[in-house]
Amino acid sequence: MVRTNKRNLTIIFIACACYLSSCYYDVEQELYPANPCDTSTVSFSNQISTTLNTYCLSCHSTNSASSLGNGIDLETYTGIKTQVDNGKLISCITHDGSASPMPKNAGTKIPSCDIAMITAWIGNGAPNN
Amino acid sequence: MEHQTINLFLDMFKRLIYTTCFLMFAQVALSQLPEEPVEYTKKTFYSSRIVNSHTTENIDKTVLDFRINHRFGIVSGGYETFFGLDNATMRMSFDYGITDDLNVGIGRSTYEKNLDAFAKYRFLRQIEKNGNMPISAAYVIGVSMSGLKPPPGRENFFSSKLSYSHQLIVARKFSKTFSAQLMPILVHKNLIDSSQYQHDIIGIGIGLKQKILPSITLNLEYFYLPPDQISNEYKHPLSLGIDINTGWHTFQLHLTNATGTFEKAYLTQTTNRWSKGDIHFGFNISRHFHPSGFH
Repeated sequence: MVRTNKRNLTIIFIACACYLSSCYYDVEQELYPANPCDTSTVSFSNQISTTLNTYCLSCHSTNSASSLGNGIDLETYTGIKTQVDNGKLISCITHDGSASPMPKNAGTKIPSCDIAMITAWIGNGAPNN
Repeated sequence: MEHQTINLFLDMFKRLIYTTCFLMFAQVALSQLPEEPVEYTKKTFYSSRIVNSHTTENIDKTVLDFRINHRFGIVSGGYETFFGLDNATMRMSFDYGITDDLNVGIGRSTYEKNLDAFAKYRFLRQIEKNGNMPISAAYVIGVSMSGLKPPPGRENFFSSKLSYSHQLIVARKFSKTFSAQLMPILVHKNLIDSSQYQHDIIGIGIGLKQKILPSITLNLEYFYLPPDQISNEYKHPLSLGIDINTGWHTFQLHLTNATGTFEKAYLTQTTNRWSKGDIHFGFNISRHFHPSGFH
């Protein structure tokens, strides 16, 4: 019994030692100093489509929209424009409370520069450029 | 006269010897009687989780517990999403009892495609009879690893995917029907966006159980986070539920504003508000597999 307890305590001690030694204190802003976020030349094909591909298409591709994406297709310009016009795209990514916060299973917003790009593109009339 | 005195003295001496012998034998006989075994308090909570948080309840040695923690979408989605039932996030996990007091487990969540593991050690156990221990207490350490793809075009580190949790749980079964537990918790994130988070986030939780029928309980779980640790868009997780115990199964049905079901997610990434109806209907299913066979 004593031997079993000692073995258990040894395992716990080794596990704790490994566990405690693996803490890091990294900060995104220091680890990845941001390039200046240039929103003056935003285009759908260069920036917006790439961002939505990265963060949204696991649920909102044309194929998965009906099963996973609540019928919202963010793979095509037409589908994206629909969500721009009804205001849901910007509400979802800025977590302003009037639509479901997205990306749904990420817990956090997409990077602030990407939000700024999308906001600027919508401000320009959301062109298919 | 002198003869009578001697006889009286001998008589008393004999009685003294008999009494001493009797007492010695009695003491030996009593010492050989088995001690009354300690009876530990059972079912402080019906399950090893209240809703999202651990309890001091452990699964027994060598028992495997297969769990599914399932959360539908938010109720305020209305008929368009059938009040959230069109969407779902879930966590599948296996918990195992190394001893009655030491449990370990591993789980995978769809939320953040997260893999997590924990170890829970119950170091105090409330005693009902033949002992004196008014509380149960356990310490839980956990680690979680996000499976989301990091942003492209930069050097990404494995450590950045990891976060940790430490939780102390102190519980007491106050009566046959009412139990409560306090649970201070610390979550550490290796990589943070400093505009939204601190690395180390502390909170304190409370869990309550009120039995309403022989196999049904009402539960509440709430975590308070002191201010200025995370961005204001994140809310305190509050969950209400009922447990239905059927022996080897436990069904837990609940309403919660937390989407994720592991420590980092429910404590630091809850964005939904009860006041706006942004709550998830969800359930946990627990199925125990005993080494001697299926029950």
